[in-house]
Amino acid sequence: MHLIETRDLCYTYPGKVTALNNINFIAPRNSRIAVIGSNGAGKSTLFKHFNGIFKATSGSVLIRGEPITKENIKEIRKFVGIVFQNPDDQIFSPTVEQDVAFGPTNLGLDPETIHHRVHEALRVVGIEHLAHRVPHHLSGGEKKRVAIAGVIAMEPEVLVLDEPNAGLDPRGVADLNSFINSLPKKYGMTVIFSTHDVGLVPEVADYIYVMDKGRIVAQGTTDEIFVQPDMLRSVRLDVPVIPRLLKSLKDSGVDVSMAYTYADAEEALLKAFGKRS
Amino acid sequence: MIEELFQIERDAYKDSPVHRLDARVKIVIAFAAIIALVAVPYSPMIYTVGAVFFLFFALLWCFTGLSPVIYARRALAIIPLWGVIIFFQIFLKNKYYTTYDVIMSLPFGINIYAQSVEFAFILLVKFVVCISFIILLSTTTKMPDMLEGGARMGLPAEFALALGMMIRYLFVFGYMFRKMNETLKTKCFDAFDRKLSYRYRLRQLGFTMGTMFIRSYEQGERVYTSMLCRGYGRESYLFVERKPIKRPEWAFLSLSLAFIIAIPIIVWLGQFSIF
Repeated sequence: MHLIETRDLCYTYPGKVTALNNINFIAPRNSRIAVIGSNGAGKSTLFKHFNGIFKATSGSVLIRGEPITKENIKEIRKFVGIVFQNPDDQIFSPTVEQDVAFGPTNLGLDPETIHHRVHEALRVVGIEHLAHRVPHHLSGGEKKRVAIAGVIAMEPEVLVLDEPNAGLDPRGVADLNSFINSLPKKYGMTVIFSTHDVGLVPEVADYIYVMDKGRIVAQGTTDEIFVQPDMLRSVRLDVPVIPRLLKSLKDSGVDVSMAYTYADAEEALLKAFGKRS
Repeated sequence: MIEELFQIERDAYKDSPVHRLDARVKIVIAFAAIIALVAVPYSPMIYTVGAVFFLFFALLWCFTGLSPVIYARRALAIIPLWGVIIFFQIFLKNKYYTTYDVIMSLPFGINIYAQSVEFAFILLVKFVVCISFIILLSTTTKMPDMLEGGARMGLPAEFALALGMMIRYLFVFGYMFRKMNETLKTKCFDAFDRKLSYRYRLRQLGFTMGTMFIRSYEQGERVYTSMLCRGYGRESYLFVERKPIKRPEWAFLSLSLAFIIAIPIIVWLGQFSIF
């Protein structure tokens, strides 16, 4: 049984605009899944089906093997937490603490538990010192962390992040990447995120879905996806810089093995140039 | 106006003994002063009560460390609202007097009455002192603190949640408006530039306002979606942690309340007047 599964999911916006077309998506436990695609590919629309914000026009969405119904919707929204692209859409309370407390409050928890969860969530994302600040005094990166803390405080098993790196500075991106990587290891969570920044994907994803015009056009591991440059270009994406550089070196006769992450590429290059056995 | 909003916030974030007081203490004092003043009968005794209350307000203002100019600017900003109401009282008869003496006759049968002028002055005193306490409250209390104070004092959960969101998005739209203004300036648009046609300027301002409206509508949709994602429902409320009022705050509140209640009673019983 998968945590999230969609079967032939189709969704049409009012005005007969087809947003999703026969999507078959699986999210197993303890995994890191990237959904990549250009703007308008349908990534955000797909995510909104994972916790019942959108209802499928046809096909089905199964959460832990069960369809989403009115009866289990609250439980499902606790189970699948979504962090939206723009934190200003998600932070709607006057202080950070109150905003992070919004989800636990809706779960009907008592004040002591709410307090504990809020401060634990703020600690996990490293912003405990911001608890009493007002959101408009925060930087973009801090707001993003507040938005994530607000979802984490509900203790979801699946965390869905829509374009998590949008608007972050390089340090913010690096911090967020290590945070995403820590979630499955430390807390056993499944992380699903969307991006069109392909360079980020090998660092934080085990499995990739490529979307274009509401369809899944390819899926597989990093190795399987990034060896298809033509397919990626056809959907207005590209192969990340590291594998592209290694392939170019390989084509020029350098005996270097393929790598996708920075650490693997460093290792491969050192080996190729005789600096490591 | 938007810049005023940010200025009020900057003032509220300053530090002083009055700023540090629990929001509940300030809310109770402000509302007690307003209720006490409103309860004073429409008679010249209000001048004495008003003067003593204003001195009390002035004393508190001194402790805020803020310039009196800030107070004057805020009070003047509200003049168009209450000034007009007070001004027109001098032409009208009201239920508080039985006889009216005309002190000036104007065309079209309009008269200015001595009693109406007195009534207008009484209203002026009530308005000025009430508004002064509101300005003191808003200038020394952060908006979230004010909301939390209200919620702790029993403000209904629905109101607290809605007000909380209003506070949050007041600033989001404040920043949005500021950015749009900067964009207009970058493109050399000035709404008061007489070289540009009146119609053109009006149309551009209309576009700006329309864009703000559409963006606020879209923002509302997105916020509602994200609220649903976090389990928003009929039972949702704003989480406010318990916070006891400290002993010195209790003492200050008790003394202030005793003072606010005692002054009108003393003036009324003793027919005491400093004017």
